[in-house]
Amino acid sequence: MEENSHNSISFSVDAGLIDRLGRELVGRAETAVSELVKNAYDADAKNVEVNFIDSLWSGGSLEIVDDGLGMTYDQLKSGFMTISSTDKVHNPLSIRYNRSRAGKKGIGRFATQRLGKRLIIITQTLESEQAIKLTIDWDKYTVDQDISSIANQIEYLPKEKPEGTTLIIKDLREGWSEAAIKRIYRYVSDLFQPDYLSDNSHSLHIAKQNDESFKVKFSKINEGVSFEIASPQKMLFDKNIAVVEGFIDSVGDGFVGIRSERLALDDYAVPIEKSKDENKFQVIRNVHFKAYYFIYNRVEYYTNISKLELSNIQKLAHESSGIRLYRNGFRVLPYGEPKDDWLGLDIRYSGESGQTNIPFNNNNLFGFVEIIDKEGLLFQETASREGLIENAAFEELVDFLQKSLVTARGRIAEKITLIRKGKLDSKEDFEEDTEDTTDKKTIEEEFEELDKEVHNDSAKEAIKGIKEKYYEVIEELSMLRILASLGLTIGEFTHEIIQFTPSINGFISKLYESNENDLNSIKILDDLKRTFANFTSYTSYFNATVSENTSREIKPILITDVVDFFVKNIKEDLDRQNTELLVESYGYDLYTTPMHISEWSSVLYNLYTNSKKAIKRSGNAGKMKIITGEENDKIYFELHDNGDGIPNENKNRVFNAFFTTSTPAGFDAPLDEKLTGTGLGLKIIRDIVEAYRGTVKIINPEIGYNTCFRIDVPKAEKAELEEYGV
Amino acid sequence: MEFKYLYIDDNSEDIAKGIITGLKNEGELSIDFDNPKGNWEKERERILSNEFKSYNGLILDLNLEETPNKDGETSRYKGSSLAQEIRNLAKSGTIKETPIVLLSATINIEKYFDRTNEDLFDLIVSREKLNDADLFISMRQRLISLSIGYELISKCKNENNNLTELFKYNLEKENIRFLGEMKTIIENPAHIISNFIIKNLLEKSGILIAENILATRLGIDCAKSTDWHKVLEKFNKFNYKGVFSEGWKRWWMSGLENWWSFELQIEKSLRSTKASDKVSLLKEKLDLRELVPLEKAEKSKSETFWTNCVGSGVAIDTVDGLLITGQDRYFPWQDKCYVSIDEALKPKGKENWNKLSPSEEYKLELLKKQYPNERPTR
Repeated sequence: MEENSHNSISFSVDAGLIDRLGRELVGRAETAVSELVKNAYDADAKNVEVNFIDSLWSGGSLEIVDDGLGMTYDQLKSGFMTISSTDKVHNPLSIRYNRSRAGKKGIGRFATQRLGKRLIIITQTLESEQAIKLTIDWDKYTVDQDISSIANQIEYLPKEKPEGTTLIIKDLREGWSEAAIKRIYRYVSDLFQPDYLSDNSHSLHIAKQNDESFKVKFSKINEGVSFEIASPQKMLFDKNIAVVEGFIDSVGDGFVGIRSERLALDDYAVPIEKSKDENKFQVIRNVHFKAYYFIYNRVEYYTNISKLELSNIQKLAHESSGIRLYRNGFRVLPYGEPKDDWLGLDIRYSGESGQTNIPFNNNNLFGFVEIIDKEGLLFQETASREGLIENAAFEELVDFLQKSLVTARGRIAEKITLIRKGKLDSKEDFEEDTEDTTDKKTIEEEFEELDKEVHNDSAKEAIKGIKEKYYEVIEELSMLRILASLGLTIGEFTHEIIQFTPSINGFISKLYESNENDLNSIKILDDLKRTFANFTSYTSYFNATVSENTSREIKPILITDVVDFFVKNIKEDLDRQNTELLVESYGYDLYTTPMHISEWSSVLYNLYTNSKKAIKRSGNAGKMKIITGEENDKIYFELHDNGDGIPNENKNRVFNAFFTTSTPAGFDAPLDEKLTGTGLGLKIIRDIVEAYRGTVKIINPEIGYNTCFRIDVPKAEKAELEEYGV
Repeated sequence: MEFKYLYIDDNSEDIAKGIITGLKNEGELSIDFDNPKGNWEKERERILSNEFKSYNGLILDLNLEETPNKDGETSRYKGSSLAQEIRNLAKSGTIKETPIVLLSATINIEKYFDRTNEDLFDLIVSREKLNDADLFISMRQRLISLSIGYELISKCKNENNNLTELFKYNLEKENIRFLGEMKTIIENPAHIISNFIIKNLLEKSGILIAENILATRLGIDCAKSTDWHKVLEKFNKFNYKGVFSEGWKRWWMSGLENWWSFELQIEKSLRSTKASDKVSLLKEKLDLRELVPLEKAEKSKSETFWTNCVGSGVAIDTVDGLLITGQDRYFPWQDKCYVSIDEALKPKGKENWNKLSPSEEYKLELLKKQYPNERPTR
């Protein structure tokens, strides 16, 4: 391309672009494979085989064999080999079956680059006499070369089959475990609507998972032996408690039906109206949905399910529950993805689940919504292809689905309450562990009625305030419930753990006595002994503080003892964090008013954790100081740290429930992660301290420190000390 | 000779296995494990069986009622009931006398153990105390020592209550009231004798002293003195070799005084000489260099150390100590227990003592005034 003439200049493309596009356009290997499967669908294939060959480690191969239309030389050249070709833009429907094309524009080739170092394409069409074999070595596409200067070899081979394309990706960049293959299989399967939800979808040939017209088979071939990967676990949908199914017909009338064998429920065609004045939905037509409902950990609500099955379903629910949306047979993301709450179910029901025991979160539902809108008149995808534009049709859809699900929940609640009361059948006695919610008005309903009756603005304002406070308290309570049960579990767990302590020490002791120890093994033993001693100090700390909780005994607490015990326990942690901790105490006999030792333990741990985080954020070499003493008949406790400090505007807010500066854990994060940084720590401290007529505040720290929390609680009275024999 | 213990616990052997492994040692001590039998009759059969005769001691868990045994039967009796029955059967001569050790979780001892049962057991060990690998060897030594001791007690009783044989020491110069008490005690069943010796002689300073007290009385900081073991060697003659000496390392206090005044021929009194002076004298007499005298705690006045603070372990003279409570039923030959001023003001070792003796409380109030411990103004 180097020309001597300097009169004109054109763009050229560096070959390194391929690598960048492959990695940046196709982030995940799953997407890469699914794009290739979509391409086969778009080529009107009926069967696709995806074979992972010796692919447990990197360096294996991946074959994608389809029986689609195949490509001619010209199609290969102008389509596959031309970056950013316009074929799929010009021809949105496939040639033979008029399938709506699924593949994203031009991603396929980069997908192959993303997956492996070499690509071989063997393709043939019905009309062709020979098969074309194209070999691309992606490694040749390195930087500082013009992309068009790299030639890829073409060969002509005898045809293997009437038509179709085989992609062989060699030298896979990563290894594929069976679990990874299964994950991708599930991913590919989810692309298509699971079932014909309506007669319409059937007659329109809309793609669906079990569609005989498009079958995908995944295999793993190791050293010539082939195993078919089982199709992703059928969701055991038929094990559900109830099925909710609904539709809006061609004139705009909406209906929902709820069926459940176990609950003896068969409510058919319950009308769902747009509003009180308007029965029919205005915009949308021909919407169908089906949702399978599960309650976890309640085997007794089901007719035929084992605990294991139910917990498997619960596990699956983590990644594939929710209400998914299929438009013309294809999944529209992000609706129904984990964390997506497009119908607002989680927001509405998460706080309530404990009250009513009819949990109704996304987690409890596996649902599919079918919208047929061939011409794209009602629903339009957003420019970014992430979801639909929220127009009137979309709003009606959400409204319909929400109303249908709420209706369904009511029917289910009614029956489950009967089960709990033992009225539904006499199979088992169920404990009545919650209040009956269906007969009584809920507080929400009361609020609503009150709101209607009251016409005075200031009263309305007051009610609104109470309502807000009420929801706040509910939310806080549900978190506290989790924390409380966690506390009990820790207590129980610690008690079990300490059973083993003496035994492990016995083994260690015996190992020391062996004559066969060399210096190295003695060193290992020393490490083992020390590590286990640290471990034991934690368990004994929890045993002493948490387990004592069961006795619920309160007594005057010698604050210096609490601090000593605590400091002893966190010593290792401080060393690891490279944090210095000074302890000072002033005065004598610093006995607090009778309290429970575990309360101090949780106060100290919470404050300590906060300080640790503040120090981490500040990047300072950690310094903390605990000071205890007596002042004005109060026992005080101060924790100083040189963390990043608390801005003035937050000083009053830090004690509020749920106020936190920590980034919250993800929705999928494990429970323990969620429980740290809940924003309840300081609030709990305040609750504890105030329960004993004490105070907690942020005061000016001593020189050299940035933050100081100070707690003041009444000092034990002489009579109390005598009463408790201290 | 290898001694053999039977360990009865309602937990599975798996949980106890490490304890057993740590305690047993080939050629010295073996331990068989078993669950309780599930009912009292079967339990009695076991005690009366021939197999039971082969054991030199017993380790019992206190709460045998928590977990069903291998056969799925839950027992309805405590380890202490079993111990009581064994003591009764031994008293009537049906079975021989054996040491019994209680090994139980502290919480169960607190919940279920009536203190009047204490004398049934030669040792009471809380499981939590086995929190350090180093403790197993010393506990093994004590188990072995108990077995040897029981045989020795039985032998001495047969030899007309021979106390010299029991203590392997000429008792002529020992406290007369101690001797009187011993002569009464030796008439009792072995576990009463064992209890008396362990609780009143081995676990309390007086007639016998432990290594830390020995060092304190000589004024030596043994942690800093590399020649400390040489001092012990010179003093070897007065090492306690009597009953249970395999499990408890002690020295005769009368021996110490004798050694100081007559063997080393030091005229200055052991009791009223400053630590630094005592160490200088010892270095000279024993021709040792690496001996470091103990230093006085900040708030102490006297340097003639005599005992160790029971809370902190710091060496103090009794004049600088405050008496702790619960020492009313002491025998006159026993030393009393004190805490240092620092420990009394700011207790650090409360697990080892409970309260000050009421008679000392006014002293504490004065000390608080003397050392107000106020926070510097900011």
